[in-house]
Amino acid sequence: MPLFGKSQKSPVELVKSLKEAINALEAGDRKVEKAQEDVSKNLVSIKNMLYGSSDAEPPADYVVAQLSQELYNSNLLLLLIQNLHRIDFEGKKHVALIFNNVLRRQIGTRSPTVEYICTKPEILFTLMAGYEDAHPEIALNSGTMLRECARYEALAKIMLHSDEFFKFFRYVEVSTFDIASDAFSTFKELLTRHKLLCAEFLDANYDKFFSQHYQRLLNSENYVTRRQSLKLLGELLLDRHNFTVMTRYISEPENLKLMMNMLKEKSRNIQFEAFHVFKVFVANPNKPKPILDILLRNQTKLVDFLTNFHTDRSEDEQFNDEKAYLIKQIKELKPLPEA
Amino acid sequence: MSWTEKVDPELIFTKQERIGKGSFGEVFKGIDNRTQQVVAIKIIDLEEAEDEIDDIQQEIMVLSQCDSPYVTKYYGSFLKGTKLWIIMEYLGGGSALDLMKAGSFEEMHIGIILREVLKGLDYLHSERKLHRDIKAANVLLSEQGDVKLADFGVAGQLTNTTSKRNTFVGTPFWMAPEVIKQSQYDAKADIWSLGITAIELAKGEPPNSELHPMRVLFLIPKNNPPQLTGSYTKSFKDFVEACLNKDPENRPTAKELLKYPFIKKAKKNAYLIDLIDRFKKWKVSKGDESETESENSDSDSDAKQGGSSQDEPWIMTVKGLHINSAPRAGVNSFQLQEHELTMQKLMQTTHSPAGGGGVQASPAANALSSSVSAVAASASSVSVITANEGVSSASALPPQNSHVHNHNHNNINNNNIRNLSNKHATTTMLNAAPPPSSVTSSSSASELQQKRSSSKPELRQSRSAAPLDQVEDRRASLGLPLQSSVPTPSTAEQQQQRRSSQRESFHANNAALVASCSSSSNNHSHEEHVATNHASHVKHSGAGQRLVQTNSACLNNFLFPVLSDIQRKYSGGGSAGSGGSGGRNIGVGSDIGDLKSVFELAERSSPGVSDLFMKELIHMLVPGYSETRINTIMDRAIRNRK
Repeated sequence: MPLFGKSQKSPVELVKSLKEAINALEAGDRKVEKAQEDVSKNLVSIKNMLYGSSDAEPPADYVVAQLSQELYNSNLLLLLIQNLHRIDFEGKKHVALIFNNVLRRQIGTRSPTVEYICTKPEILFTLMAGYEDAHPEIALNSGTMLRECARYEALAKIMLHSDEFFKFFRYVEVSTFDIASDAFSTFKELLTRHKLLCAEFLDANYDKFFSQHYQRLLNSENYVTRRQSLKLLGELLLDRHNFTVMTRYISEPENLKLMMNMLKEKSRNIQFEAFHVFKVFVANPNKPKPILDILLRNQTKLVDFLTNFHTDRSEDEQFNDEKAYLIKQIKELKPLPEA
Repeated sequence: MSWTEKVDPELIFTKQERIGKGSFGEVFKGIDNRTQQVVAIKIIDLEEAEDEIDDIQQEIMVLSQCDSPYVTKYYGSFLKGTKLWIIMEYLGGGSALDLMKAGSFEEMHIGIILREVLKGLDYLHSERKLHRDIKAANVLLSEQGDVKLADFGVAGQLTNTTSKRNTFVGTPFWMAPEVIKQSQYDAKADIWSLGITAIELAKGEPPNSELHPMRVLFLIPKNNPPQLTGSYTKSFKDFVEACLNKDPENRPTAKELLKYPFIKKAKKNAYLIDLIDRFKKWKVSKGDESETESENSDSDSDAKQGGSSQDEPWIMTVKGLHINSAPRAGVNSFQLQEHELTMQKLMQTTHSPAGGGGVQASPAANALSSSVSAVAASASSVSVITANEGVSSASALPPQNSHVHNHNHNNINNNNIRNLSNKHATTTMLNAAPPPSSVTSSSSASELQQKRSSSKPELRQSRSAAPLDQVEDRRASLGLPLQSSVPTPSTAEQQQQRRSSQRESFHANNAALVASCSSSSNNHSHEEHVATNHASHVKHSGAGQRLVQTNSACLNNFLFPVLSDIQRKYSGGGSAGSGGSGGRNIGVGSDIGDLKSVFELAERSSPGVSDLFMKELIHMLVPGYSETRINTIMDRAIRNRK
């Protein structure tokens, strides 16, 4: 701060000052404007302390350590997130920058902030609620912090196994494109980042996840939701860690019917994504009888349909190989011998 | 943001005239019916967009995080069907590129604009964001003379752990040398683009604008940096020189440039109102622009669908519904293993296109078409275009992605239009030398693997492009000199012999062809099965049916269509030209007709010779390709032509 010459507030002083300003902001009394200014000023100071600035020197390790420890002690991280909607536009971004920086902090192999947040899961739940309609202006900032948290398996686990996770099935469908897309990015990150954790989660929550919730996404009126969820479904099923989940999904005739209908959607992009799920049903060497029956009843139609399916993708060698394989498999389908 | 309820954007906003095109879609002027605020509405059809939805979301993410008087403001985005409505701040003054149409800028005006752009860049860079497409077209002015950056279609946000972003996007003329050479983008690349924009504002065009964009990509890293020449102040020239330092480490930051004398002495924004007023008067005198025409309604995509296969419903009823997960008794162990292997293969595959292999095949297939055209051109006495001798493979360009392809396609079209209206069009086109072809690195191939949509623009462009456009496009991309696999004297000799109508010469020529083909056959011990079938079929037809049409798919589905396209093009020019040029064009068309007869005769005399000819052509173009690969390319080229 120029006013203080070369001397700077210590981390302890900064955190204390910011906390007082946040509390005043939350109280919402006559001094709210002053509190707003103080919050902004202190956030900038903390941000510069962590990132350095063009004027100041890069931060020393012990300063970052002190600052982090003080943030833990004062419970300021949660306070900032809970009051994010009261902070101004630039201040919101500074909160996200500070949060993400502190989160990445490492001492040897330990991540102190990750460990701290594990003891305060309310931080994660409050961030997840950032997508709620009440305060749309904080959704994208919350998302930035959530995706940073999702990089750490311990935090991803807390989020996946919380009831709040299933609210994402609503968040990804809101009509405000930027919020819905951001929510979908976080949703996808949680389901794909840590393979073993995701596989266990999907296996343990199969019925709730797929039958009760995911089916609704695939039938959504929202074009983007339908397209993106179909694409993610294909990725989930073809991930080798999800073999058990895949086996179960491709054994259910309702799922096959849905994919066959989506192959005929108006949207060529959705047709293409549906193909990459449909192919797994056909390639399954252990088809249950109901699946086999549906394929057999449409055998001729499927061969004709696939022969004329996306023939303009002549440069996509892999796609054409797979299509030829599917046509061959469908032609060679035979009924199960009677018991 | 004040629009958070689930809403139909068409009920909230009234769309008015179209005011331009952004990198993703069209832009309209509009009114917010609730507040009467004027806004800009960018509408993207996500079904038609060539980029993944994630990339479009990226632009919106960057926009929504910007709050600066020097960057166009983002208000919100809404989805209706497959159409995405992005609501932006409306700037009624137009773009700097628009304003230049009404006349050149004084140095004083340029200084103001550059200062304001620098403020926008300083804001973006301090937020660790990049613009990556700085040019006059992306600098907008309000009616009060405020200047703002717009169109972040290729903007990217640097993460704190990665200070440089490896990508290859932007517009070639404004692209920094390190971006072209190493796909290395950081804030300093925006500064280079700003320097080019300064020259653009002063001269009306960026440097090298008369050259082919692909050639410019080759020249920028190689040449000395462009300079601002002419009667400009030293401070302006110094400013431009600082921006266009080839070493990004030596380029000033936006913040530093704001302290340069040329910028510090710039006047208030209000002086730009003169330019805006001038532009308005110019537009009135020019009459209504086509860009301002209103669109009555969006086309309905329902009409595109059809066909009985689409309409007929699937049979979904299932009898005796019970789950039996036991393996089928009839499946033997071998078949089961095959299925398991295939399952594993499917599980490991991604949704992306074939990647490097698939993409590499495309240039060769198109080069095939180019070469056939070149052969025809050679037969018609048109000189063959060759590359500069100075170009070497060591100067290979970095890999391209779909953005570059898209940009290049547009620029090629623009250049074609410009050249056609120029008296020296032919000379310019003939003198344009293609740069060497891109070398696909492993990381780029990996990138292509992950980005399925990278193949879409190529497909779309290649479908709509005429053969000669393909020639130019692929010649530029490959950077290979075109070789005539059939020597010109030999072809001319054949034609002379045929025209003489001497019986003896005809027979001798025929014998020579047979001998030549026999020699070729010996070099290919593994003749294709299809060719064998063709030969067998012809033999069975008997000697008496010499006039039967050949069964060669290669000849009928590829060579003839290509030659017919060329013939049509040359014949079409005849009617427009003078007597002399008309005669020449007619002669060219006639020569191509003769060439078609030659191909047909050769195929009839020696079935399969067209296939051999094509394979040799591909082999010469891409010597490294295996025979299997060449067969694949041929099949693809023939199929594409159907």
